[in-house]
Amino acid sequence: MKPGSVAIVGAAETTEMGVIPDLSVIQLHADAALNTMKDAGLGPKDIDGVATAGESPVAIAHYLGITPTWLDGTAVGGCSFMLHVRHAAAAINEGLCKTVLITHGESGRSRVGAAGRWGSPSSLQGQFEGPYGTSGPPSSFTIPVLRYMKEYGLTHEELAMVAVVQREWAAMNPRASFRDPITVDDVLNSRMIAYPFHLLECCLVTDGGGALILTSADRAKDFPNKPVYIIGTGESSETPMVSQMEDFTTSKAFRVSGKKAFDEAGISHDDVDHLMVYDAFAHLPIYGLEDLGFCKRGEGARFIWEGNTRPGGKLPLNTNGGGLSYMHSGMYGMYALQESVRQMRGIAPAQVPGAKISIAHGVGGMFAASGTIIMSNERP
Amino acid sequence: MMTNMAGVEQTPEALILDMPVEVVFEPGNEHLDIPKFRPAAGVIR
Repeated sequence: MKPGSVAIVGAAETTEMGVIPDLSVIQLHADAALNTMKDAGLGPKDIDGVATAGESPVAIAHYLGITPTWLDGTAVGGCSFMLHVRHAAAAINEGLCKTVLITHGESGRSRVGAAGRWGSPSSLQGQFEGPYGTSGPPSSFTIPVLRYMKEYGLTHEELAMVAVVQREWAAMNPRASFRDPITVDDVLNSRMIAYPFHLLECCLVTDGGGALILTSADRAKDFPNKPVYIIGTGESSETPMVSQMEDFTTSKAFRVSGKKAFDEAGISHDDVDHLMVYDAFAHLPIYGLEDLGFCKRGEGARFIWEGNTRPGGKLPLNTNGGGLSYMHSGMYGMYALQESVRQMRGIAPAQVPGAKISIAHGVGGMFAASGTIIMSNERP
Repeated sequence: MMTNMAGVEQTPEALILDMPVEVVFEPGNEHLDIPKFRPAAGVIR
């Protein structure tokens, strides 16, 4: 896409977050969508494009009373919403639609109106991984880090520090699920979930949602809030089976998606003021820092340990507290995008002063897919 | 490939990355056996 040709003009999360036993999945989508339409000063009649994952975009359009001329149901896991932003930008530039609504809602904890948890037994994972007892993220997403630990000498303490630093950010966020400070010892003394991951190194499981509205940058000035311009986008995939990664110490999907977005934006790493890396588990930010090129291979954990990503550091990372402390409904990518938008609008609870460029980088499945969105509050 | 280790304690201390292993076929159902791996002969368990 042409950098800055499309902007986010509406962004909001669900009214409540955390445990929401009285809203079903589609109601969470709708709550987020209505909040976002209000944020943008629009109604359903003003929307002509719908994208979502987890639910059908047909269901969302019908539920909200939208007549779409463009639909995108790309569902590649938690980064799907990054891909929706990218596809929506292309669609708007191509004239397929003018105003796109992207929704997410998930009853991850309460499971109200939620679909089944696991994939089909005839899928590749169902045939070749499931029979060996892997049962979802805690016992499969965690496997690659064992190779990383051996290859680069990553310590349990360094891994724990990822959660400690993110809690520092969460402490500043009134909507974060967990806000009390924690230490490396607290993390290492928390319950072992799947070696080497302790409870506090695993993301939360909560209920919630979020939505975005995008339109062309030329129209963006007519909306009530400061537009946030899309200046670079990327997406890629590697394998549906974590066991088939080319190299357990690095995500090919991260590298390809990230490079695509950086190339498109025409920026250098020094230009980036704020970074979100989907943190399903504590190793994800380490892989993200390295695979996006902010750190050399094997140096991501040290970069975090030395305080570069904490409040006041040179690269503020996961400033909402992340999946580890803020919230994680299942497909967290939407919340990473929401925090990037808040930072670019200048309204984040833990605002990075003067931030002009933000990256939201997502993972789908267990290093299966990836999406990267680079935003700016200045039109290039 | 994803698989399970057989004939070895299921602890981080006993499951050593890169240890030599050998395949064992455990009975699955009437149609197939399940390939698993155990520490190769001579490897201290």
